[in-house]
Formats: sequence, C-alpha cells, structure tokens
Amino acid sequence: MDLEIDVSSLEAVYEQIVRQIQQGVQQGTLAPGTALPSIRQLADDLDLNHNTVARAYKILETNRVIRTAGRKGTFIHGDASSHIHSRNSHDAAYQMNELVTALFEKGLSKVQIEAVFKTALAIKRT
Amino acid sequence: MYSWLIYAVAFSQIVVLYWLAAPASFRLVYHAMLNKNREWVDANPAFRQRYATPKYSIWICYVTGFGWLGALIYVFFFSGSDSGMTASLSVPILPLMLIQFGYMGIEYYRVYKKIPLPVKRSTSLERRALKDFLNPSWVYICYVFFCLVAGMYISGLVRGVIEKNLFIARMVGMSIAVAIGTFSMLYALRRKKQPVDDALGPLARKFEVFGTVAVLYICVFVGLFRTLQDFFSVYLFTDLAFFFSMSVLIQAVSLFCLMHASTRKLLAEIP
Repeated sequence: MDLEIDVSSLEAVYEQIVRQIQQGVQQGTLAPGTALPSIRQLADDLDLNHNTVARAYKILETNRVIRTAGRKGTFIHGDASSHIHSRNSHDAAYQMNELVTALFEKGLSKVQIEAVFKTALAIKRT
Repeated sequence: MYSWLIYAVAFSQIVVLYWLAAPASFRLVYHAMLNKNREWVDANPAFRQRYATPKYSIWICYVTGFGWLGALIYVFFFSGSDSGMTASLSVPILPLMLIQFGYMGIEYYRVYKKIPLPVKRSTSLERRALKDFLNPSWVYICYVFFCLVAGMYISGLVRGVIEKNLFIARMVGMSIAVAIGTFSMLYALRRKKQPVDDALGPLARKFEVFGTVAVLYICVFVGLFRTLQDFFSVYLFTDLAFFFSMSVLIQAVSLFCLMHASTRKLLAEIP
C-alpha cells in the first residue's frame, strides 16, 4: 500500500498518516499482522520530521490499530478493524450528542431535529 | 600465456569500470537526484540547463582511465616488476570508489539540495528491514568471524607470533573492508526508492542487499585466508589469483547490470 501526504493540506500530516493507515485496515489492504515501516524509514522516505511519524504511530497505538513489539517492529493489530469501528462509533455518538445539544440550544424541537436528520440521510443515500 | 590473461583483465577493467560503468552510474545518480521533485524540475528548465548532466565528472573518469592505461602499460612492459601484476588488478578500483563517493557528495550539494521538497509526497508502506530480505543471522555470523580474526591477530601480536606492522596492516585493511561492507548494506536498506527500482522491479533492492552481504562474506573469506597465511603459512592461493578473480567478478557484475534491458532503457531516457 502506498501512503500519500500533502504538506499544503489543512489536515495535519500526522492525521493524514493516521487516516490512511486506518483506511488501509478497513479496506483490507493492511491485513492484521502486516509489518509497518519503522518511524525512521517512513520519516526519511517522506522527508518528514521523525516526531511527526512518531506522533501518528503513537495515536494508532493508543487506538489499538497497530502494536509495537520492541525490536521486532510495528505491526497491524490483530483486531485493528474492530477497534477502528468501535472508535468511529464512539466518535460518532460523541459528535452527534454535541450536535443535538447545539440544535436544542438553537430552539429546534425534537420533531424538527428528527426531520432534519431524516432529510440529511435521504440526501446522502441518493 | 597466463601473463596475457592478466594483462587482458587489467586492461578490460579500465574499459568496463572507468569508461562504461562509472559514466552510466553518474548519469543514474544524477537522474535519481532530479527525481526528488520531478514536477518542479520539469517546470524549471533553467535549473535543468544550469545544472546539466555531469559532463565534467564523466570526463574525469575517461581521463583517469587513460592515465591508468598508461600506468598499466608501463608496469607490464617497461618496469619489469612482478608485484606490479597484483597491484594492477586491485589498485585502479580504489580511486574509482573515491571518485564515485566524491561525485555523489558533490551532486548532493550541487543538485539535490537546490531542489525544493515536493508538496505531495508518497511512499510504500512496505518495511525494509534486514530480516525482510534474509535471515539476520547470516550477517551476525559475519561479524562473529571478523571478531575471531581480530582476536587471532591480537593474540598473535601479544604472543609475538606476528609483527606489529603486519598486525596494523591487517587490522586497517579489515576495518576498511568491514566499514565499506556495512555502510553499503545499510545504504541498500535505507535509501529511498529510485527510478532504477521502478525499472528493475522489487528484486533490484533484494539483489543489492544480497550483494552487500556477499561482500561481507568475501571480507570474512579474506580474513580467514590471511590468518592461515600469517599464522600457519598455509597458502590456499596467491594474492594475484584472488585479485584476478575479484576483478573478473566485479567486471562481470558491472557488465550484467549495464547490459540489463531495464538499465539500458532507463539510460536511454536520460538526456
């Protein structure tokens, strides 16, 4: 799998790395147990600061998408896909809660909010 | 009869290494440097004109090759020295290595550093550790042998079996060989993907790593051979036979790489 970064993008470089590795796991390109390049290799290949790649790997490790096995290297976690899924569900629930709270504060009723969401989902489906 | 064979190999190494392989390798290195940001280079023809193909370095190779030819003719036909035979097969290769490393250093500052980094960058997520190419034990065994050979010479010096000058010569020689072998192996593993990798495919780097490990094993072999020679007066073969074989091997590998269809195609694309 190839990793592409855009340093002019508004998205931080370490976030681009995290996102693309997670996408690779979800799409099945990065199977559980696949060895990942070392921080030094990835940083040198992409001409990035080592700390940027280290930060991305740290986030992926915290999210249990990758696991580091000392000198053996860094690998895709055995349950990486389910961890990403549960993480995404958790993030979605949090963001939804924030949004609903904001909409209530703006004076919308429960029925109106439900209608807005249904419309948004219908647009997305088409 | 055998003398003529040595003359032929000694002369052909100048042609193959100085006049064919080195200029081709200079052009490939130059091409790899431009690959840092190909879009920017294509959009700036003035840069390409100012930092054109390395003509001077290639001419230095041609001229040095002529110099060596003159030196070989003198050694073979006018000096009457037997030791010149061995030197003729080993000495011309060393300056070539210096020229190559020097060229890479110059081009790094002359061209590579002046090209800005691309905004969009990509790389493969394929790991390139030693264990991905071969069992690391093969390399560790090499270093164990180096330590054994060094230990033999140290004990020989302490016991007075070998002279100090011989000890220094052997240790310096082995250290340089091990340093070059190790550096080459690490470079083969860590260097970025280059156009030659695209041309030759994924086997190119594997071939390169195997080659550098083979160089380390040749160093081990030489170390053991020298130990037998210096401590037990056992001569498996002469220095001349060793350097003759090495010269033939280096020339054969260089010619194989040069004549490979992918290399020829890549070189044809470089202006």
